[in-house]
Amino acid sequence: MALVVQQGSAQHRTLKLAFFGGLALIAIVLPFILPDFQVGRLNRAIWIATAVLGLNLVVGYAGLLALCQSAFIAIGAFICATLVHEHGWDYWMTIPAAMFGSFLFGVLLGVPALRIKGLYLAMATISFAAAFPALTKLEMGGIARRTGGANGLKINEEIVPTGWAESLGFAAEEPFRYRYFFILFLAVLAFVGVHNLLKSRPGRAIVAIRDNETGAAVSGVNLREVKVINFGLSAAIGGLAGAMSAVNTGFVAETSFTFVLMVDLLVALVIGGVATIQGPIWGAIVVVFVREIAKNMSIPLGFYTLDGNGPLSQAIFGLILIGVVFFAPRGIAGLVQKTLPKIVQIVPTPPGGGTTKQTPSATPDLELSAQ
Amino acid sequence: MSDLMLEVRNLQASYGQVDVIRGLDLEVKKGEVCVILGANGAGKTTTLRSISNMPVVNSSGTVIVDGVDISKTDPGEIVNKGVAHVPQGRGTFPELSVLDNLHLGGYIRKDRKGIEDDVQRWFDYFPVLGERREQAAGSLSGGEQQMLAVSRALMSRPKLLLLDEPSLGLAPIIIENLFKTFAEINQENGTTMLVVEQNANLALNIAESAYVLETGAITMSGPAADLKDNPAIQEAYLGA
Amino acid sequence: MDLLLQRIIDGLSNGAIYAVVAIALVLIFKATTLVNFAQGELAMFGGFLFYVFAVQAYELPLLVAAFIAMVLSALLGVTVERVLVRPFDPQDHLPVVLITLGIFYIVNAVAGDIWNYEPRAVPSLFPNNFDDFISIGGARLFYDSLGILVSLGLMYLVVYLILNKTKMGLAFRAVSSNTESSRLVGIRVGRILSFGWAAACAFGTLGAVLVAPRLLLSPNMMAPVLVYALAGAAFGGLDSIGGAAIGGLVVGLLNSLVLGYLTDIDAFSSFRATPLLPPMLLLLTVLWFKPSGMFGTKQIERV
Repeated sequence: MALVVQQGSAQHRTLKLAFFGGLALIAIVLPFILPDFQVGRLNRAIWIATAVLGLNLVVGYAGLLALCQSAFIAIGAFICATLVHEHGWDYWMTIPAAMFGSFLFGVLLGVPALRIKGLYLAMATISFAAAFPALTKLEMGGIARRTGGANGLKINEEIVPTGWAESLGFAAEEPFRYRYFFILFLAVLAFVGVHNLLKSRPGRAIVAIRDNETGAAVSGVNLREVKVINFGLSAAIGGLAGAMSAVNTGFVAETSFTFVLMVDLLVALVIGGVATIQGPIWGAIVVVFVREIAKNMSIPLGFYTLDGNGPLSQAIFGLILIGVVFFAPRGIAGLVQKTLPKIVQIVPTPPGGGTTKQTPSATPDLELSAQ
Repeated sequence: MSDLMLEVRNLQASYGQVDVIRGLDLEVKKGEVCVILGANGAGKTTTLRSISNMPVVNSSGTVIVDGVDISKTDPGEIVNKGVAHVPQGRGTFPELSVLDNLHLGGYIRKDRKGIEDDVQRWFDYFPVLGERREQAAGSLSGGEQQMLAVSRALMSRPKLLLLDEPSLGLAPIIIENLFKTFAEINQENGTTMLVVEQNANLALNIAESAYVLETGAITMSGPAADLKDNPAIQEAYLGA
Repeated sequence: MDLLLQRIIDGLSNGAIYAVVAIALVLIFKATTLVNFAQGELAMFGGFLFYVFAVQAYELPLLVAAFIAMVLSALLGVTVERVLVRPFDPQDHLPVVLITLGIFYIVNAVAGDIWNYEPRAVPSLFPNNFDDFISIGGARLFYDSLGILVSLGLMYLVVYLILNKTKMGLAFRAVSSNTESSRLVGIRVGRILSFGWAAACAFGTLGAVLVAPRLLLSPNMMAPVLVYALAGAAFGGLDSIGGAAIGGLVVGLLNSLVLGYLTDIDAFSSFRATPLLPPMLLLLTVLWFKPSGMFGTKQIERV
């Protein structure tokens, strides 16, 4: 039987504290339990989740099929790398620069692109995402030099634990652990930021446009402005993710930001659950870790062995993508939203105080989805 | 042998959770012109769409056309059962020529010569269509498109013609001519017609029987002449 | 002058291949209002089927092998449409984009697993030895290129005749114009959709068979071709077959001339690494200024 909790009560607050406290505890302890290289993978999952968060802003919440996030990630990564490598910036300082640079690109691209509708927008942005990596190999304007061209760029300064960190237990030979907290901190900021944005007035304008463009326009929402700025924000978050990826590996190359990454992001978006805050997290976990598991799988099917190593892990991904669209269109977040009320029901307080009878709430406050 | 072309029993229809039609009964005699009147949102279009089993509407109930139960028939099959439906907004093929549109009307027929004869016939009824036979249907005026839509529907030589608000968006003179032609077609061919209309005046003039639909239910029915003289109807529908 | 002529010839013959794939894209778009992002991979698979029948497992005459490949890929296309695409409402774009991307992934992976990623030489349908060409001015028109251009012409003719002179073609154009009314006149819309996909896949395979001798057959062969074809189709208008043909030729010409002359300038020599840049820019430009393309029908957006 489900536990019924009054919204806003002390019980509710305790539950929330326990939940987020527990999450925080796990988050802090996790890198110390896992071997260092797994933490590196975990870091990748975190920045992918962040990138998908950005993508969700446009595809999920605004309902626009803009599929070029991989290009913005690349931009953020290259800005970060160049600033550190060539100009000796501190990694922390590059974060706002990478975000701002990507934001600018997003707005510049968004102004023309967002006039294009529906499927045409998908076509335009997919081809941009596909063509972008090659652009980094151009030699004009010193682009190839900065990006490392076809071979990529190994940044001369990597994030390693400094003196005070070492005394806390971080070892220089286990850099991923140290970077984890850097990356996690940025990710938490991003998620909290987007969550608050969506609850605010501009945030609701974004969703209003998706649900009923004409209605929104008639209610005074400036469609172009909201769409373009939303797109810019999504790009900025993508740029943030790119910088995070540069921090993680100390290496940037055009081969990391291809169309394949874009599809991974889409898969993560859909598997996790479109238009939810928790979705990107689930999706990133699946995309990063399931892929690893798939690589080690080997399923004998009579005359043919489905070997995870090699191209078939890609086939499995395609199957997952199609499977999710068919059977679980609301993704993992959707499943969570369905089963959570069976465990805990948050019941709204009726006006005037007092307790209510057993009327279940549609969206329990406990989870991280902005609807 | 029933003299009914169309029998509708206990029709229910809903869009999602919203009930639009609740338990409607309807009868149209063979060779008759029957009109369904009602204000916007009364459910007239939904009624026609339910008869044709068009998507978007969850409909249930019994629909019998000339003794054949078509309640579960796919919309793609109803023309084979002798029902031709001219949807709201004419439903022409705008990029295709007038001639192509007419040929599509006769799509299910196999008699080449018969089809060509009928095409010519409709050009005789509506000379302007003949003049514009190679033009794209979308480039025709509203009235011309309506003529085309009706001709197209009649190309399949249906037993029952369903017309959804044929006067919508047309100038009064055009509507007058149009309805005159409907009456002619009905008299010459004996095609049974069920016409859904907001424009009560002209519709009642050419009809034999009529129904009044209000928020999904029939509130009045009877011979068209009676309804025309009914003061309540006059006030509600024959005013402006 | 000779160089210009050569570049034009090469551009047109590449463009003809893009046009063939563009026509495939347009056929599906006309029938379903969807863009099939997996069209290239399905074509590539057809190209491999040709390889199997012409080289790998059997050694059938090339035209026969090509024909069989086209028929088999048509069947594959019909299956894909029936099972994976039809259940979805074409107005809701995201699920269908995802499905076609999923198919992209799967077909690519399966091809990579059955045949590996090594590029393979594949015989051309036309004689293509070093001396199989016609001289025009100082330029060479290889039989191979000529054959491709003729194939495009024939293909366009076939499609035009079917669409405009047959009952099935009329039904197809009707479905493309107004699906609901098509049902009401008794057209079996499902059959038309299947026909559209079958034709698109068959033509896509033809494109792959034509391009494979040039690019060398491999699972990743068609991905760039798809970008060119998309650009060409968009330029011509996604619902215009003739537009797709012209669009493909334009893209081929554009690439040949722009990249050719631009990369001759030292500063721009690295643009050789970005052959996808011109079509991408063209695509963005077209979609921004005139989304309906040069020959497509305008969509009226009612407020």
